[in-house]
Amino acid sequence: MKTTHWLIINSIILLVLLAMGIYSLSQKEKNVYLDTAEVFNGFKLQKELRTKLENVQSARQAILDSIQLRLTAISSSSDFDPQNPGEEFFSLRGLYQQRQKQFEEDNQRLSNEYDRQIWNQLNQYVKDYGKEHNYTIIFGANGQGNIMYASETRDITKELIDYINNKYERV
Amino acid sequence: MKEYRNLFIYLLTFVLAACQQPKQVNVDQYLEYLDKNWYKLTDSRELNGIVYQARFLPNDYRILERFGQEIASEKLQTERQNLSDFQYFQIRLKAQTGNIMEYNMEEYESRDSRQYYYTHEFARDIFLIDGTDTLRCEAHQFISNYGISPWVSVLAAFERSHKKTAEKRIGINDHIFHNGKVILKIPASAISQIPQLTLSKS
Repeated sequence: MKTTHWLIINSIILLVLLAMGIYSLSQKEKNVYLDTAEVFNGFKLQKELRTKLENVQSARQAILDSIQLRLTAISSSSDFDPQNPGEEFFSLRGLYQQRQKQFEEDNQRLSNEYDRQIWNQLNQYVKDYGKEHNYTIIFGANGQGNIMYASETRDITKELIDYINNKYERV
Repeated sequence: MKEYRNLFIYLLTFVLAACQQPKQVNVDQYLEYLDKNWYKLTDSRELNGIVYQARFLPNDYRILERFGQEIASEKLQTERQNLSDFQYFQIRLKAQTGNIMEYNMEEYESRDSRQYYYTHEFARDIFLIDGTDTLRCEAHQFISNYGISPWVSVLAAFERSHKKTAEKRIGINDHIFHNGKVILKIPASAISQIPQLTLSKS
């Protein structure tokens, strides 16, 4: 009777320990990480907006190059006097400087706007992904020290990139 | 034996062809079908507290909305002809908390500026991917909510592709909430399944 009694108690203790072990292991699986840069660069919206930004920047550079060409043509002409370049030269140079400043500010503003749009969507999709997979924490590894090492089994980068692109395109 | 096989093939083809034809219904049945199946013609998604929704509006439904359920058969045919070159979508936005016309307002914004954007400029930020064609919004009408409904609603018209019904993807690139391009999808099957409205000739 006494033996059976101890057997039951030992079994219960073992079961409790086993359950705690399993719970502990399952909790650890809930913390994963992603490569922030890879996810950002793999996002289709980012690629589309980057192309758009590059097109805008190219068009603006072409305008500046055109003005620069005219300035060069004036300064290369035989009757050009560096001491007295003339009204047209000053006007064009002023226009070049004005446009250059304006384009720089606009390009930066556009780049910031696009980044904002991309991160607004990315943050939402990562949140959705985390909820769907019951993750406790998703860390973003940016290669600058916040995660020095983590097992590859916890790396969700590739699956996340597929997920966010499917979400974005409504596949 | 060969004759029976051929007969079977003819019968099978006939049955399959008949199944492809949309069911013909009267006004009550048509509206009842839509009431039950709007969810198939609607897609929504939430991004950073803003809900974006797109709904395909069949032309017959729009005609009934405008002219009433007692519309005559000839009038229905005329209006169908008038609308035949376009397809319509209802696009709605809502803030999960608060009034969308004041949600997350930047310093440079005002309620009036948002109203102006949705009334006059939103059309340029909406497009439709109809199968493989990308179509711009030809016309849009902003429907003010007067602060009563949580939704901002816009009726958008796109050129109708007269090819076989394809999957529709509405793209919304609104410049108010900085959420980038949001894509909503209406499957082709949902549109093909809409029954055909038939009125008896008066």
